[in-house]
Amino acid sequence: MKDTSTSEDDSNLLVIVIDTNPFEWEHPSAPLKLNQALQHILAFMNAHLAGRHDNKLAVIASHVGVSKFLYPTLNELTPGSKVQTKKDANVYQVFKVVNDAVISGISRLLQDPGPTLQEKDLGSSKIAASLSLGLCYINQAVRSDGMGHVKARILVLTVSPDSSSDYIPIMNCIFSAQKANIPIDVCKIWGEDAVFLQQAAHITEGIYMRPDDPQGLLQILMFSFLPDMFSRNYLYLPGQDQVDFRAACFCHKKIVDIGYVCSVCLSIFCSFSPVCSTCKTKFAFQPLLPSARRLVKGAASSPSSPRPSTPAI
Amino acid sequence: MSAMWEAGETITTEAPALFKKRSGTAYLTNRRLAWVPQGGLAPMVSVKHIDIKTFFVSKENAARVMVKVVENRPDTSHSFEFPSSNAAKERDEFKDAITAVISARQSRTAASTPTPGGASPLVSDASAPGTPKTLMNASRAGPSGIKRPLNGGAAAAELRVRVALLTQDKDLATLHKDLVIGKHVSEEEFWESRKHLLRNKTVMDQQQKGQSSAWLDLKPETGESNDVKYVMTPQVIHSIFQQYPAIKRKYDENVPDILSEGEFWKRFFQSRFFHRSRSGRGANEPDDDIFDRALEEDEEETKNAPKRMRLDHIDKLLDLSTTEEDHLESYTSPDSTMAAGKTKGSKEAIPLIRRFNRYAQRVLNSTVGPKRPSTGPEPFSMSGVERAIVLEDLQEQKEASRIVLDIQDTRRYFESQGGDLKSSKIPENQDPADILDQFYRDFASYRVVLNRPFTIPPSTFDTLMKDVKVNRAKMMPPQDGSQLLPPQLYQDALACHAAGNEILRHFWSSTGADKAAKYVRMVESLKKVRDENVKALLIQASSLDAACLDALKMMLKPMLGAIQKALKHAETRPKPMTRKLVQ
Repeated sequence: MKDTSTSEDDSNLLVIVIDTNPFEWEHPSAPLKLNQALQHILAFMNAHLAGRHDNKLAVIASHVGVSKFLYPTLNELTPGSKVQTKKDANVYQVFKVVNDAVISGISRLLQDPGPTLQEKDLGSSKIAASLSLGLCYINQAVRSDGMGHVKARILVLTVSPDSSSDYIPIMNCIFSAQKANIPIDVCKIWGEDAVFLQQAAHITEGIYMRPDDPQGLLQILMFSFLPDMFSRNYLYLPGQDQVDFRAACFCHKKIVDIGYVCSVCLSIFCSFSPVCSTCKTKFAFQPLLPSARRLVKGAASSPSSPRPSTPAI
Repeated sequence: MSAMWEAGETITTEAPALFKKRSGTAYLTNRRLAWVPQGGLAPMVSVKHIDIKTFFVSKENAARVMVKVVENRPDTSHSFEFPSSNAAKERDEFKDAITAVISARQSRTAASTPTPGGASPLVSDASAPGTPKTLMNASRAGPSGIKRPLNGGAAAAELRVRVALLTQDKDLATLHKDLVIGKHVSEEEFWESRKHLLRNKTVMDQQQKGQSSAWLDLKPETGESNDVKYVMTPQVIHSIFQQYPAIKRKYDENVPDILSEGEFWKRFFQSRFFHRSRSGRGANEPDDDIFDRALEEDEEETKNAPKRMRLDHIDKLLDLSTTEEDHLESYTSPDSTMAAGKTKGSKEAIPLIRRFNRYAQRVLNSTVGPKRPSTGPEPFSMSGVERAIVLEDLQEQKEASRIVLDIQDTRRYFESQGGDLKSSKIPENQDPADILDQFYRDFASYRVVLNRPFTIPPSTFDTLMKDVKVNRAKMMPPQDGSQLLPPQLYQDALACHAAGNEILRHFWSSTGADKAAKYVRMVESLKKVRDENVKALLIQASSLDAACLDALKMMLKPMLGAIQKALKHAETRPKPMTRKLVQ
């Protein structure tokens, strides 16, 4: 499992995507307030920056209706947006710049409810957009580094449930990350499992976590997500790697073992229909030979088909 | 030499032998026993393997060392006497070789396969009409490639291939032993599912080795008393003839009328012809009128340039002279290094180069056939040139008429993956704008301070550690059955597992109505595996220790589960039909 493409001397670029979905953070049942969580997250960011002199960081806010860089701010020309550089004798300057940029960035984001209210799908965070921003930023950083020392990873801190309209953009991001060898770590701070992001972590060989108690967020972050790609070769980290890949048919939402798949759009159906209901493709052929159909039916009724076994140990 | 041996025939044993008081050489090839008189070209005695009935050898201490071969034909036998100093050894070699031939034949079943092409006419096939004959060697099928199975011959051939496969593959042999000899599956059923193996093996056996293209390098073997010995096999002789046509001509002229074969080769190795390309020997070879003339002929042949090819009909794309006009402006002197015979160095090298070329041509001819003479002037066709110079990538691509993917609702993909549609719940009676406003006020009212102690619940660490431990257990290399079980038991368990799976495969393939009898048999076999084989293993394991038993149980669990499922299927299957067919 040792990955030889990483080394001790790598500079680590960590792109953190913070989900700032107001409808989740502000929900009465939320176990944590955003600013409480930010305290943990900022401490984690500082820890990452303290790890190595050339460790780099980027922070992206995934809001409802809009996704924005919080740090580094890219040519932000809005008046008054300049990051305060007032020196504080008690804080390491690098930490202070990051902390101030993140807090003021979120604050500005919340100040303007315009884009959020215009969003049709209220309550879904722009995770896909943030992942795209992150991937572009990483691509730029990796390309400007001629030595190939920059090893990037993405950490998504999310509270929102999956957004169903985002499926294809997220999948595209996942495959780009997989191709570029960028692991996507995911921490679903509370709530149900995020199915897409779980798959993202699995496909890109990142870590997926859904803590039982988000009060100890800092410890979870430090424990699971602080080690860089090189150290991960030698560590047993928490995180689950079992992902439910079972697919349900589009027509009845039943989980199927064997079904019919549209050859154009890959929609899954539990029974043959001459026209795909997702993409309207017409199929001009007969479904299957009678004997084969019987086989499929038989197999579908008993989930584990009669297959010769393999040795267990 | 091709007159003497059939195509594909190779010599396994040979020794000088007297036959009817004439000296000569006895050969045992992969097809027959033959005796060639000294200096002779063709065998005087030729007995095919299948015609050898039996043979006798002289006693260990008999004065004359002899082998007597009896043919199937009544009253036909041949006695060979080995006159050389180590006759006993030669005799034993023949004895062993013939014994092997006879026993190999006896082990095969009697069936007839017609022998395609090239069979020696010397053996009277008519003498034993209808006598079953076996194909001695699959390679005998000749260049026609895959032999066409005819009537019973196919079965015999297949049987042989099966035996060969079983001796080659130990695992397969074990499985075969368990299933077929254990009467679970019939021989035919066993091979039914392994047709590809048989086909593979047959093809591999029938592949013929082509002629070697290596440049002949005659190397003597140096004996103890510093004598030099050249071993002449038909292959070597064939190569010499290929390489030096002059020698072939001399051989044809002189052997056996003027010189015996041995004498011919002896003189060849002493001749200037043979030694000219070897260093370390001056021109102190004795004059030899035969080989000196051959040498002259050979040198004459290589000295003269081969006939120039007619250059009328050269492919325009390969004709370098057409580009001559492009080079008029250059003032450099013409390059003569590659011009034949122009420089001193090339003059010396030319015969050698020609020799190599000639040899290369021969090798090519033997595989791809001689070059076809050009059939008249080819019309200068533009289309051919066009085909060669037009690059497809540079052509404008015609847009294929595509259908635009029109997905009505991408949410459906999500639903198939994530189950029900869910989104952040916004309380009904609240205005989203209010929530946003509240959220901002909440955020702004409270400054994030980092230099305050964090309160981390202790349970967080415990959960994380539990997680780590689980992951660590998963990363550890899984324990193999071979480490958990004693080797013998492990082997037995593997064999049992393989047998069980094979029967399961047969079981599921026999669910059709036409295979009801087999189905019933497979059910019985499955029960037998479950109640006897597995039980025996478990008893054996339990006599060792508990860990062993657990490991074994775990190993066999999936198979037992599958057997259980199969038997359940058998129970629920409509009985009357099966019963009717069985009775």
